[in-house]
Amino acid sequence: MEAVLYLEELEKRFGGLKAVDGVTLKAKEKGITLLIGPNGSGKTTLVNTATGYYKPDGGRVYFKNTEITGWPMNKVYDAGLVRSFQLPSPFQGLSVLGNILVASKENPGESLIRSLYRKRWVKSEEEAIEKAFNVIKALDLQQFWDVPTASLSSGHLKLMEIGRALMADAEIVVLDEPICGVNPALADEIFIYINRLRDTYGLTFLIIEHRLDIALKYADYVYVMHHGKVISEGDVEYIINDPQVRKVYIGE
Amino acid sequence: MLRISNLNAGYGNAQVLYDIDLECKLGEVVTVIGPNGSGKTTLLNSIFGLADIFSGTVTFDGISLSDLPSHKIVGTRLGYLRQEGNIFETLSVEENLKMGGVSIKKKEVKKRMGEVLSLMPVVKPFLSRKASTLSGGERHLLAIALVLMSRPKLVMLDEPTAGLAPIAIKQIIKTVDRLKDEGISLIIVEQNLKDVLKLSDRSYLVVSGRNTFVGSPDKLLERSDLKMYLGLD
Repeated sequence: MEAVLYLEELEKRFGGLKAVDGVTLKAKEKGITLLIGPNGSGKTTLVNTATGYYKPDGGRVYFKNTEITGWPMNKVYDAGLVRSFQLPSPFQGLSVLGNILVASKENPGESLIRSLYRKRWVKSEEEAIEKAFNVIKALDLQQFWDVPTASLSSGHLKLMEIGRALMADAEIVVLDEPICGVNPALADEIFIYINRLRDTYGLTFLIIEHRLDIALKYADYVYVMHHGKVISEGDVEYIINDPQVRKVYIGE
Repeated sequence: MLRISNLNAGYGNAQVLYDIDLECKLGEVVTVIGPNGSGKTTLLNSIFGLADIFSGTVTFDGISLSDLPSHKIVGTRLGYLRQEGNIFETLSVEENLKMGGVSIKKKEVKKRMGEVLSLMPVVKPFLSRKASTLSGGERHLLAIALVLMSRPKLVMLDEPTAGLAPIAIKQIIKTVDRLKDEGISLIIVEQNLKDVLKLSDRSYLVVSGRNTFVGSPDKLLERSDLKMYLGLD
C-alpha cells in the first residue's frame, strides 16, 4: 500500500521547545493509522503542522506524492486532506444537514447576481443536498438531519464532523480524539463507521486517540509519540507489548 | 450533605431532567453514569445554578441552592469542575491557584495553597509555568487543585478523565482517591467506569433524563442493559 500522507523529519518549535522533533510518519492508503502518546507529547501539534495550521520549522509533508509543506489550511483541505479538531466546532444554529452542506467544496457562497440566474444554481444545490443526505444516511444520522447541532450529543457531533469530511470529498481524514467524551457503546459505533467508510469509500484515516480499548481493535498500524519524537511504531501486537510504550504511556 | 428531590430541570423551555432524586452524604463518592445526551451534565449544572430548575429541591448542607446564583453557591463550599474552561490560560499555575482562593480570606490563601499542594504534590513541578503550556493531564490536575482552593466539602467532577492518556488517568484517579481519604465528598460524571466505579460508594444511572438505577457499583454492573447504554460486557 502506498502512503497517502508522508511526513518526513517534520519539526515544529515554540521558542526553545521542540514540540515536534523530526517525526517521520506514513499513513497508508485505505489504512487506519493510530497516533498515540501521553498528553503533551506533540500529537496534535504534529497534525496541526502537517495540515497547515502551523508552518513547519523543518522537514517535509507529502500528500499523494505531492509536496504540500507549508501550504495554508484551505489549500490542504481543497486537495483532499481534511482534519477534525478535538472540540467539534459546528455552526450551532444550523441543522446537521446545513452543517454538512457548508463543507461541500462546490458551495459557491452567496451572490446577489447569481441568485437572479436560477437555472445556474438549482441543479447544483439539488445535487449537493442529495449528496449530503447520502452522507447522513451513511452515518445513520437520518433522525437528526433537521436538528440544530446545538442540541446534539457529543457522540453525534463527532459523527457529524466525519460527515463534513465526507462531504468535502476527503481522501484522508485526520481525526483528533474522535471518541473523547463519548460513551463506550457509541464510541465503538463511531469506529465501526470509520471502518465501514474506509471499506466503502476507500478513505484513509490518521487518528489520534487515547481510548485504546476501543481504537486498537480497528487500527492497522500505530505510532507512539513522546516528547515530540516517535518512540515506537508497528502493528497493534508489537505496540502493546513494547516495554517503552507501556512505561511512558500506560505508566507501568 | 447534598440532597436532590423530584428535580425537573432544563434550559429555557427545553426540559432535560425528569423527577430526579439523588443523595451524596459526607465523605461519599457518588458516580452518575449514562449515555451521551442523557442529562448528566445538566444535573450537575442544576446543582450549581447553571440550568433552570422547573420544580423540585436541591439542598446542600441544609441550604436550598435552587434560588442561589452560581457565585453564591461557590461560597457554600461546593466545587464544580466542568468539562472545559476551568483554568485561566494566560496566568501561571501559581496565579491560577490564587484565583481559586478568591472566596477565602486573603491572608489564608498562601496557607491553603500549601495544603492543596501537599494534597496534590503532582502540581508542584509546574507551579511557575503558564497554564496555556500545560498538557491535557496537567490541565485537569490544575483544575482540580483550583477547585480545592475554596476548601470545598463537596466537589463535582464532570468527566475528569476525558481526553487523557492512561498514565494521566492514573494520576487523576490517585488524586480522587486521596480526596476521598481527606473526607471530601465527590459526585463524578464519567464514561471511564472501570477506574471510577472502584472508588464509588453509590451509582446512579441516568437515561433520557430519568433515574433508572440507584445502588452499589456491583449491583450496577450486574444490569443487563448496561451494555446497550455503555458498551460494557
